[in-house]
Amino acid sequence: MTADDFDVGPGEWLEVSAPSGFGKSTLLRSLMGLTPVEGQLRVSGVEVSGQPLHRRRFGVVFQDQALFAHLNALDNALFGLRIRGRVSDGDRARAEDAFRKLGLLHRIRAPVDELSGGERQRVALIRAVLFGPVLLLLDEPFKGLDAEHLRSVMDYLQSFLSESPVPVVWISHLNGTGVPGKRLVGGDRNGRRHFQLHHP
Amino acid sequence: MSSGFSPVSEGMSGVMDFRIRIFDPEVLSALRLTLIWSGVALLPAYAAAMALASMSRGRGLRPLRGLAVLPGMFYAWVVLVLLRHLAPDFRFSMIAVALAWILAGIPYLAVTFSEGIGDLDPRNREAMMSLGASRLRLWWHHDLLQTLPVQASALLQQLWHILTSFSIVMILGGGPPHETLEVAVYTSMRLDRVDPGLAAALAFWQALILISLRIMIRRFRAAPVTGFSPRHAGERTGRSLVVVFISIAALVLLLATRQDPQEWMRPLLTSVSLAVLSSTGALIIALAAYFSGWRGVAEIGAWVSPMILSWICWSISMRWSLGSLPMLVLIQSVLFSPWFARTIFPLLDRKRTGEIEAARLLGAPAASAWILVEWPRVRGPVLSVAGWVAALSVMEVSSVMWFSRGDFDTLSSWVQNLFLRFRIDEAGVGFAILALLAYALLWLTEKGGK
Repeated sequence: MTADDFDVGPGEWLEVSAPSGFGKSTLLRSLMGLTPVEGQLRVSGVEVSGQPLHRRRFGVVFQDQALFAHLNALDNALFGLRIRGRVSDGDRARAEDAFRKLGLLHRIRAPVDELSGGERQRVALIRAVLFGPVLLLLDEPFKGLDAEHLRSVMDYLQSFLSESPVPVVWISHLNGTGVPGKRLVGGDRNGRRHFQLHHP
Repeated sequence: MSSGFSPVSEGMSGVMDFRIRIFDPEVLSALRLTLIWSGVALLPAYAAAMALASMSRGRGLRPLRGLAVLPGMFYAWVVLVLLRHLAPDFRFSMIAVALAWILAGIPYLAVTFSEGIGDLDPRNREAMMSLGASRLRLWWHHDLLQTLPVQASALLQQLWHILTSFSIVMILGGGPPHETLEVAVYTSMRLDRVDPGLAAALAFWQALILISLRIMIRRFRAAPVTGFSPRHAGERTGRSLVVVFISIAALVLLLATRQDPQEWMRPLLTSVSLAVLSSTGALIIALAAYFSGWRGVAEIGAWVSPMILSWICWSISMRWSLGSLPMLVLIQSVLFSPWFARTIFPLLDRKRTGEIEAARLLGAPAASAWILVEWPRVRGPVLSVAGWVAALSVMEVSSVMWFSRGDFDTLSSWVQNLFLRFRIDEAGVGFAILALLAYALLWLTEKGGK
């Protein structure tokens, strides 16, 4: 599998789209550093390909969310902060605010295995954003969301990006989300799977 | 350890003997007797267990669930007491050993069979009954045939236990030497007649049998390979375990008043410390093997003859001049690490959910990610198997026997000596203490695991 060179500016969105099974998640995992890849990945001009995972500061929403089953929703959301030291009252307030904005305040202490698919998706999104990442990698972030929650999630992300403009690479699972930005579209090139860059 | 023994020179000659003596008449005789008596013990146990399971169809087996976790030593003790009163001439015979094996096998097999039958879809039975099948035909065409994989797996597992069992053989096998593989090695060690060549030849046959068995067991994936995982032990026994636990505690209290506490206090403490150190060591070895990429080493341990493993450790101890206790810890850690491997490797291998990766990407270093995310996931099973291994360590005779000389004493060897001296009542107290310890460890860890 190959891909065109691409760059994503601060606050910009890069949508990865391709048929099911093409390798969108593999591409995203290679950006995360979970799958070996040839090439370079620079964030703010700094080569990060050789960095250990925990030093990259990537905010990630996995396809299956990968929430920690032994923690409740709030503790999942605070994990990225907690691993870097103490969680301040301000951090808790920000977390609560995020839960409120995404309509999850009543589920803030719920064990994650009691959450619905859409709720889990939103908790994963809060977790990815709350610790202040330098890059967002979102694997089907809007999956399982109804129209109302999709709007609240978009608002939340836009709000975050306006305060902390970081690049966003995301995989869409349906067309017509209305998210502006470049696109990496999967297709065939000389018998090989290839992601081609399309500008808006 | 043994005075005047040169491990290097005799070990080398032992290797030479190893090649030649695999077909030694003495070795083949021990092999033949082991296989014959194993089969003799297995068939009645199978028949009785199947009858019990079929009659009760999973109900009324509650007492057996408690008995299923009792160690072989318990059954040996029962047989010895019975034969002492009924037929004194039998007490050192292989018939006595076989009786103990049969008694030990029935609860385990019955519980396993009944669970297999209980798991069957009742609609199939109802369909057969509606089509006119009698109870006998129902049993033959449905229960028996549908549970064949479970039966085969459990039977092979039981045969495995018999072939690797030292406890019963050791307790009852004080008579004619070299009647079984284990006795042959044990006797030579016990009497300071160390013969590495003979031990290697015997171990070769044991390993060959065990490997063949394991290959066959792997074909019956419908049933758990271990057949008696610690998790199942807790699930199957449930509350009945507590009843047994309390009963044994009462027995100990009753009988202990007749004993000199100093006599068993030291072996008791030794066994407990040994159990704790061994289970910890086994866990460390298994985890180190997994994360270093040498996981095959731990898994191979489950395929290797316990004799060979003991022999290797014993050879190391002779070279390093390790003390008895460190050596016992090493041996038991090595012997039990496959238990850990078989329990936690599938957990660690399970379909990745990305939790570790998520933790890493959220900023957790590898060790922190493991402690904060992976450990909570595997903690229950690991604690459970740790308790099981500790319990096995307390009850284990095989490794202890290698070092059960006058200069070192464990509770197991103390009980063993009492049995051999026909101090059966006192041995009963010792056994009760051992069983109490084993159950306490199991019960507590199962509770913690949940």
